[in-house]
Amino acid sequence: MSVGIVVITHGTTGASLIEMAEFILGESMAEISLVPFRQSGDNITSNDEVRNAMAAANSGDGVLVLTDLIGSSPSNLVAEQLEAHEAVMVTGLNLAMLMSVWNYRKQALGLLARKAVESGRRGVKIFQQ
Amino acid sequence: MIAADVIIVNKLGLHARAASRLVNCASGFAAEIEIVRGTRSVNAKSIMGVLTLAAALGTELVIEVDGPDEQQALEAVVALFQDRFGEDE
Repeated sequence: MSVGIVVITHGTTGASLIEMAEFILGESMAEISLVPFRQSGDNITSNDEVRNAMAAANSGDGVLVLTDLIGSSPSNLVAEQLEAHEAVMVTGLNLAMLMSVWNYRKQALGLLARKAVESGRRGVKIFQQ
Repeated sequence: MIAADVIIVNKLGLHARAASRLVNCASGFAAEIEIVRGTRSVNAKSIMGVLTLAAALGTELVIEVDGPDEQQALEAVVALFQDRFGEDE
């Protein structure tokens, strides 16, 4: 048993981040669930898709949901579902956060969420001459 | 605790995939492994730690290893640097 991980981002952002993290780490991340969130065009994402992905990811140890943009529709939708699915959401997904979450994925939900935030922030720095 | 100096000799430096290989190698040992650049020190088993060194070709680093399998760990890590992380150039 381990924490289920769900990535919910605008469009294909999440798929691209997972593809690049797999390339860098040299491992498949097939066990991460991915929901590409779309609000226009032919494939509008339903609330049920988000709910179902979170429900399917919970094997008893809870769910970590990673979203790209705080305050946006996918994040707001997930926030409403947290209690029902024993879930914790971390916003601001980036490649650093994703790689660290993968490396620490066997840890408990609370620690995993803290690692996600710590690593996501750690990769954000100003470089100048 | 034992230590060794290394210089980055691969063209791309300690980039993402090289850092990943280093972390995988280091994680296979029980010993604590630190990589030191100047006054900064990071955990060699942490991908974000290693990446924040932002170490390019020619960067001088010190590998510090402390633990029961420190000799094997130091040799393995130093070999990885010398082997250019398996890269051609």
